[in-house]
Amino acid sequence: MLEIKDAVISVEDTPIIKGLNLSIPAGEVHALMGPNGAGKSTLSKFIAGHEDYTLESGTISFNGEDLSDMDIHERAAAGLFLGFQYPVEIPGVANHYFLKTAINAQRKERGEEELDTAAFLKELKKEMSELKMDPQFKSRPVNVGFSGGEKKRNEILQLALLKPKMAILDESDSGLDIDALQVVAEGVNRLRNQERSFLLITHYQRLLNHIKPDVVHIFADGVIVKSGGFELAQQLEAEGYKAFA
Amino acid sequence: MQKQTTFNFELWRNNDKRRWSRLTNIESTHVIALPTKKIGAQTSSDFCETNDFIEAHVPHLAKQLNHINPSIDTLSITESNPLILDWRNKQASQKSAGQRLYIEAQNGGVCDLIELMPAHLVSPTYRAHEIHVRSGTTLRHWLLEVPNDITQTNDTTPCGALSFRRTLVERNATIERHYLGLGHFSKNIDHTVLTGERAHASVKGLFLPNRSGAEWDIHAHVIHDAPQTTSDNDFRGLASDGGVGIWNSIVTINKGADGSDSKQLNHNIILGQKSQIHTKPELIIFTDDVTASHGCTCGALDEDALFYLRTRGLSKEQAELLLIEAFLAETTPPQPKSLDIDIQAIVRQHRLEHKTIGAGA
Ligand SMILES: Nc1ncnc2c1ncn2[C@@H]1O[C@H](COP(=O)(O)OP(=O)(O)OP(=O)(O)O)[C@@H](O)[C@H]1O
Ligand SMILES: [Mg+2]
Repeated sequence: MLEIKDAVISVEDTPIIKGLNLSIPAGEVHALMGPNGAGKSTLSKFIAGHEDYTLESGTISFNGEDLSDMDIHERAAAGLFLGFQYPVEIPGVANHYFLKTAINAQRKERGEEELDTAAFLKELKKEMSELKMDPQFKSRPVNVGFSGGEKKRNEILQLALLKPKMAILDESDSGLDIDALQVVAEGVNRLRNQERSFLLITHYQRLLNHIKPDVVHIFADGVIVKSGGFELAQQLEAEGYKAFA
Repeated sequence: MQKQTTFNFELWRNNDKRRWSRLTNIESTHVIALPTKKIGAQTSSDFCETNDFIEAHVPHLAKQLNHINPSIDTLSITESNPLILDWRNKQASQKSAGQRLYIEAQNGGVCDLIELMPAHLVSPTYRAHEIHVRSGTTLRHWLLEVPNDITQTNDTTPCGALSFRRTLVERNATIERHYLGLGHFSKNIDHTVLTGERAHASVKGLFLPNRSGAEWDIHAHVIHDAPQTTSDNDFRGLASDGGVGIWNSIVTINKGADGSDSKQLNHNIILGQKSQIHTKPELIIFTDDVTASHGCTCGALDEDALFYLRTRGLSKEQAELLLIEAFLAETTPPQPKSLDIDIQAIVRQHRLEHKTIGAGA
C-alpha cells in the first residue's frame, strides 16, 4: 500500500532521512521505533505532504500512485491519515464543525455524496462514546485547552470518523494514562482489517502489547537499521538502542 | 417593562457661532488640525438644516420630530426601537459633507444607536459627533460601514471619511461601541472620557482593508477620570491585497481614578506582500492603584494549523477560509435585533473580495 524506495528527504538542504526503504502492504501493522531526533515525525509529515520537506532522491507511492504529484488534501482523500505527535490547536473552530468539514471535503474530493448533519451527528456520538470522550469535546474549539491525552484521543476520533486506508500514528500513545492507552488501542484494533494498514510510531513496547504489530522497524539517524517481529521491540526495551548501533 | 431612554438630539448649523464642543474645552481648531488633507475634507461647507437632516437620515422619525424644536429634539429610544442614522442616502451624504451632531442618552436603561455609513464615498465626509451618556444609562453604539453600490469609474478618486467622536460617560453609565470597518478610506478619532464612578467604555471592532489604497484607521483614547472606571478596547484587523490598517489605543488613567481597570487588545492577520497593519497601544498612568493589560499580535495565518487542516482533507483554500472565518467570528460586531442588515453576511461578502485569500498567495 505504501512504498518508499531509497528516499532521501531534506529540510532546508539538510538531509534528515538518508536512504529509506519501507514497504507496508495492505492490512499490515508496522511499528517504527527510534531515538529522539531520528526523523520519525519528519518522515510522517513528509508522507502527509508537508511542504517543508523535500524528496531529494528516491520514490514514494501510495496504492501505486506517485505521492509527489499529490497535494496534501488529495493524499487525505486518497486514504492517508496522520495522527499528530503534537495535535494543533485551532481557536474559533468548533470540533464538530471541523470534523464534518473534513469528512465532507474528502467525500467531495472522491466524488462521493456528502454526509448530512443528522447522519454525521449520529456517527460522531457513537464514536465518541466508544472512545469514552465527554460530549463537551464536540463543541469545544479544536484541541484548544485539551490536555495532552485528550488531544491524542481526539486524533483517534478523527481516525475513526475518516476511516482512512492507511493511518500513520505518531506517538499516539505518549501522554496517555493506562486506561486511555487501552481505549486508544481498542480504537485502533477495532479499525484493523485486511485492507487497512497502520504505521505506529512509538517509543514504548507498551503500545505494541495492546496492538500486535506484524513488523517492527528500528530507525536511527535517517535509516532503518533493522526490521523484524515483535521480539525487536522486546530487545529494544531490554537493551536500548546501543544493541542496534 | 422596558425603560424608556431619551436622546436629546441636537444639530448645529454651519454658521453657528457657538464653540463646536459643548462638552469639553476642546476648540474646533483641534479638529481642523487633524490630517484632513489626504481626504480633502471640505469642512462643513454645506451642512444641511435639521429638518432636511432628519428626513434624509431618520425618515421614520421625521413625523415625530416635526413639531419639536428643530434645534434641540428629544427622541424616545429603546432597544426594540433604536435610533438608526443612515448616512448612505446619496444626496444627504453629499449635503452633509460636514456633520456635527450632539446626542444625549439619559434616563437609565439600555438604548441602541446604529449608524450606517457607506463604505465607498463619493464626496469627502467630515463628522464631528458628541455623545453624552448620562448616569446609569447604557448606550450601545454601532458604527457600521456598509457596502454601497457606487460603481467606481476610472476617474473617481476614492474619498474618505474623517470622524471625530467625543463621548462623555457619567457615573454607572456605559458606552459600548462596535465598529465595522470596510471603508475605503476611513479615519476615526474616538475620544471617551469616563467622568463618573464605575463608568465603563467598551470600544471594539473589526477592520478589513482589502485593496491597495484602502486605509482604515482608529485612534481610540479613553480617559479614566473617576474611581473604579473600566475600559476595554479590543480590535481585530485583517489587511490584504495592499490594504492598510492602523490601530492606536491610548488609555489615560488620571490621578484619583483609583481602582480603574483597562484592557487593550489588538490581533491582526496580514495577507499579501504590500498589506500593512500598524498597532500601537499606549498607557499613561497617574495613579498606582490600577489594573492595566495590553497585547497585540500581527502575523500571517498559522502554518501549523493550515497543515493540520489540509491533512484532514481541506484544500489550501478551504483551510485558509476556515481559519479566517474563525478569526473574524470572535470580533464581528453583535447583530442588533432590530437591524435588517445581516452583519455576518456583510463580513462574509467583504471577505470574498479579498483577492489573496484562497488564491494561494
Ligand atoms: N522544519 C525543520 N527545520 C529544521 N530542522 C528540522 C525541521 N524538522 C525536523 N528537523 C530536525 O530533524 C530531526 C528529526 O526530527 P523529528 O521531529 O523527525 O524527530 P523524531 O524522530 O520524531 O523525534 P522524537 O522522538 O523526539 O519525536 C531533528 O534533529 C529536528 O531538529
Ligand atoms: Mg517525533
